[in-house]
Amino acid sequence: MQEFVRDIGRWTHRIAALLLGMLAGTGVAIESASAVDGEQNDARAFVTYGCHQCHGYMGQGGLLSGPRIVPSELSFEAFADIVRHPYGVMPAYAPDVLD
Amino acid sequence: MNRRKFLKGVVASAPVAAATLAAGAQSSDSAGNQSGAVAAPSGHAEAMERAAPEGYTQEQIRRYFIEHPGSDVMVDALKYLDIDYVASNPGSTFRGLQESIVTYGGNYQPEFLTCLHEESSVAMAHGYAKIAGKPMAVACHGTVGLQHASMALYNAWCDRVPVVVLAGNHLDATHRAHQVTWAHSVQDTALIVRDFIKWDDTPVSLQHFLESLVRSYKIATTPPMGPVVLTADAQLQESSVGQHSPAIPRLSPTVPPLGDAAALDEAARLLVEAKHPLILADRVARTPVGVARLVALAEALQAPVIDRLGRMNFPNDHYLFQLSRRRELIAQADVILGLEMTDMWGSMHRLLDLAQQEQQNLARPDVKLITLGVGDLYLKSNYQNFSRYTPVDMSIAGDAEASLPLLTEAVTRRSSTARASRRTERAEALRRAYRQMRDRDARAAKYAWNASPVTTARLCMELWQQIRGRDWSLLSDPIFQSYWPQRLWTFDKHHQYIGGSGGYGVGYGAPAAVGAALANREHGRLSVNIQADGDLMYAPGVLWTAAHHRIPLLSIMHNNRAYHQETMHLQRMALRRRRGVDGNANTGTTIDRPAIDFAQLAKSMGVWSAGPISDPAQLAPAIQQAIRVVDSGEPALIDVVCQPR
Repeated sequence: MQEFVRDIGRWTHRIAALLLGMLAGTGVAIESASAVDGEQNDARAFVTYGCHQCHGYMGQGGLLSGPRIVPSELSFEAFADIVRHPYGVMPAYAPDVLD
Repeated sequence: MNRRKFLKGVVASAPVAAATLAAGAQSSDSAGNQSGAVAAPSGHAEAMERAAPEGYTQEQIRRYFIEHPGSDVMVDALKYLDIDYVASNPGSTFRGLQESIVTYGGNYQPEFLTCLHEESSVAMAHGYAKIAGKPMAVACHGTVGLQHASMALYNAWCDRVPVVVLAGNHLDATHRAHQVTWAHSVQDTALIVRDFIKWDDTPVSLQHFLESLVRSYKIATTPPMGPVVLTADAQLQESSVGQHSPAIPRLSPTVPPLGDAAALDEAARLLVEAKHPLILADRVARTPVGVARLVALAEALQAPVIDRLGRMNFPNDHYLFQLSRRRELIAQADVILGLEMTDMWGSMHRLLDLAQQEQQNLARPDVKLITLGVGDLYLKSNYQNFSRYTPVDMSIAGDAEASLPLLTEAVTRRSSTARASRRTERAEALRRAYRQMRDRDARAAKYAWNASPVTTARLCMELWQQIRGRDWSLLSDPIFQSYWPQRLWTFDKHHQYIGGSGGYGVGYGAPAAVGAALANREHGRLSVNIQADGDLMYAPGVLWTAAHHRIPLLSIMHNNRAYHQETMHLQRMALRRRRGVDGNANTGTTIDRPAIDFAQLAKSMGVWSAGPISDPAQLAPAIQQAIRVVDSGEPALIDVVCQPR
């Protein structure tokens, strides 16, 4: 899985940055972007929090696992609300998990 | 009679045995032969003609040799039933049968397939039957072998697929030579699997065995089909037939039950009068005829079809195939016809996997539900694969494939010209929706097109580009590949898809694909298997079986290095309990560190291989090369490191 994490840093930056940015807006702790390469950092968080499990490493989605989540037109607030209070079968990310 | 001539005669007569050999029927004799029995195509006469070995006294001959063992007659019966293969991991409790297959029977129809695990034997037979349209036999120990086989039998049971298991045993305790033989003996052979087989028997004479073998074949192949277990006692196999050769009873195939004509007519009325009729199809098409019949019904109604993909039921290039519109069509429908459904309730509802379970009704409260199928005709209690009880307005017992012409005829008869404009409007709307659905699926496939790990959509499209135009057959269940094949490829032939495992028991995929590929071999079809990594590791020895028996099969790994469904479950549990996931979801669920090198694994068993491939640009040349290998009659495997779903 370590290899996956390194790999996705190269190609998920744009998407992961969007998602992680939204998570950051909700108070999610992310490693300092200046400490390591920002792309890898974003991608690592995307994997660490398990977003990729249902939505794919690039957020492309899967028919029975989770919908495509990129490109997203959601605001930070709307995205955060979905993560905290998802609809359907998505599990909720409580503040003590992501904050 | 020369043995080879005799065998040739038996083989030639087998496909028409029921019709022609019946002419030789005899009335009951001292061996218990019944009226209506096939004239015994046994080696009895040959055995009688055979000269005694030289240099032995009669006492020595009795001590060392045996003429015309019972297992020869068992092989005669397998030939009569047109069973082409016996899949088996060899075992002493059926050594007599194995020897008869290999030497007496010439290892041809049936041919002994060397398997490295009994679960592989049964799963191969499972996949084979769905392409060949007839059962394969499996030989195994009635004890340790049947226990290994049990999981695969459960899958075959849930999938309603015929498999004939011959289980060796030593019923007579006085013939158990040592501790191994005692450990390989059992009072009630089939007990361990009786909850998920259709029938079993423990014959105590050869005549009993022959009658039960023919009966078991008949039962296994009558809808609802299912696996059967017949004990082949070692003493019956190894003892001489004696003076009176038993007779093989004539096979009397059962005509599948039809739905009641009046009930079908009433169902037709409801469907014709509906504003938004909908057809759900699960295991409808047993044969290519079933596909044509379902198309005829759908067109007569101009009703969309939601294929639950239990079989290849409906061509996906037909505008009435509306797989990706399931929810909206169920929500809209006023009359829904469920054909051979395994889970009608699950199609109508959603039970959300939340801390507090939440049920969603997907259908309208006033929807009329009609079911047609054989599911209610044969059930067992213990294992609950019959799914939740569903109150319906009409429950019609009958084989759907067989009953469809009656239903379609009633629909046509009841379809008035007054309703023609409604059907035309519906057809136009469905054509538009179909085009939009296909466009939507094609667009969705393009997301992350160049990603590494490779997306399942890219994997499927790269594969499709190489096989389209060929006579291909997809032998795997694409559930974990987001059903991309059904969303992107063109399926218009029955053999292009065989459904899934039935029981969702992991380990079915690889051996079922090998068995189905064996059935495809005689048709020269290109067999294709999108192979899950976790599934392959249950019994990877089946790759050796494919190489050994030169079974052409292209396997492309969907290698996500995980039991990914369980990864998601673990994450769900951790989030529900507010413990976070921070990598914990990988514990016990991933197949990594070290990553398995599937190409090396395959190569070690004589299978051509390539990979691991994580750059999607490398897929096309690898697939082209692999297809050349498969076209030469050998299996090939490409390891592709993929996205989870």
